Amino acid sequence: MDIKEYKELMMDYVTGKLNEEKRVEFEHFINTNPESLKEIDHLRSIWKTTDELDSPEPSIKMDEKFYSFLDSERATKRNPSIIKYVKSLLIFPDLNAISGKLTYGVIVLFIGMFLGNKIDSNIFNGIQNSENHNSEVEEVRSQLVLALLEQPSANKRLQAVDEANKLVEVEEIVINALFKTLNNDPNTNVRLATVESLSNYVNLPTVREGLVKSIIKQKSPLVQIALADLMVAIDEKKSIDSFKQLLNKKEVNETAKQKISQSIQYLL
Amino acid sequence: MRYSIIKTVLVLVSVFVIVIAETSAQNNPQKTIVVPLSNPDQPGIFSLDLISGKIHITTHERSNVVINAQKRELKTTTAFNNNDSLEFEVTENNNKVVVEMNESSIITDFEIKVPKKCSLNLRLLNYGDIYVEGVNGEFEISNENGKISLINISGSAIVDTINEDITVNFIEVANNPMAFSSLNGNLDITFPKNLQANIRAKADNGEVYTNLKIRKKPAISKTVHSNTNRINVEEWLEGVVNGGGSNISFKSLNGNITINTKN
Repeated sequence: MDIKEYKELMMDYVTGKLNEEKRVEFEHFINTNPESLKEIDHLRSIWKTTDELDSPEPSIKMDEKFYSFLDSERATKRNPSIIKYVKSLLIFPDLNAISGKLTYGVIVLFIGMFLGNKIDSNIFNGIQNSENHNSEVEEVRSQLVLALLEQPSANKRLQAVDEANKLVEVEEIVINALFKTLNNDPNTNVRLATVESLSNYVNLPTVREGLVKSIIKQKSPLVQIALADLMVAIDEKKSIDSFKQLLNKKEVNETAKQKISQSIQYLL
Repeated sequence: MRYSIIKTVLVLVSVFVIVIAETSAQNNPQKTIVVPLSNPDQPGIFSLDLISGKIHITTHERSNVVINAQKRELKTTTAFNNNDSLEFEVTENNNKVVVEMNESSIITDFEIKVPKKCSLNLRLLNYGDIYVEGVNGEFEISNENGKISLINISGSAIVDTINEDITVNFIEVANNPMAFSSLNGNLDITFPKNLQANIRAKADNGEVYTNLKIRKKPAISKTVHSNTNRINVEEWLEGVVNGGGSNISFKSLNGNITINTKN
């Protein structure tokens, strides 16, 4: 066995996928090669750690604590079903074990980085003096929104938009991510939810501008109409040109065209 | 993390690919293929993005996916070149089965059997309905010009149509956000009695019928004055069901919305 074959087989060896013959050959190689033995030990311990990620009980507890804190901060507005929600976040479909691990890792990393850097451990002992914490809760939520918006499952992306709706103050990076979703997401319902979410920030000129720019990019009549309703609601006259362009497109749905013509009338 | 990536790469190497090409000159060619899952005891994911045809999915006790595709016979052949062969590609990767059409100009009717636990990701543009029965998973389903019927399903669904109705009947629900939207179609969605959710519904030009206690929330509706017209743009019916849960939204511009719970 040479070093090349060794490199190819090392993952299979650690995961126990080698057949008997190869395994003996492999073990012989690493035993004669202390560097490799070290490497294999290292790899094995990492492999073991990643496997252990399958049983996240302690993390659920930790997250429950965290989220119940998050929730209590906003108790006046929100329903306390957050624990269930967290569970649903953590229970990834088994078949996606690998991407699940990655996602889980990313979320935990975000939360971990944040907790490590900024939150005093007192926060879990119930010392809550508002303003600071609120902004930190906001930041965690923002990171959660960003991580969930990148998920392949429409479920998770809808969840991201729901989370974004709970933000009191929104960062530019979140707005940008929402616009990326509005303009590119393959799922109509996710885009629809994003229109509504962005409607919370129409007081920001960049958001108004982004919404107007998005009109011409929308292919689904449902989203076109949602934008038309919103533009009328905020009386955004700059949208008139974009809507007129849509009306000139052959492929635009007739029902949508009627609705858009109506909206233009209101806006004029 | 680095080794998770190595894992992923290893899985990718074991991707299973079949290309199905039916080149015989039969009038009505059809093909059946059986796709084994790489982890038979785990749930599957089935994904199909179809331009023209219908998609009909039921379950079986086995842990594989059986795909039957049939070219639809056309009475007139003006719009379509009837000599096109039935051709599509199936890949299986880590329990995710993806069907891709190579030739979009023929109408293909799919009859598919999946394991009971299987998430579905279906998109259809023309010439048919999407029908799913008895499957448990996460559903992302979109049909522009036909109906969507999801009968006796479990899990969660995100569904949209343009012109036709959406009918969904849940036996059990997962606590995931859901959304049902249509432009011109009716929504008829039935949940089990133990549903816990935050419901929002809006039928612009239709009615909302429900046995749930949800009510109009004028407090957050935005009313706008524009010349002499008074437009009420946000008139959602909202309600918290059994203490609340994930958000479920229902939207139809010209159709009616029926939301019921049943034992």
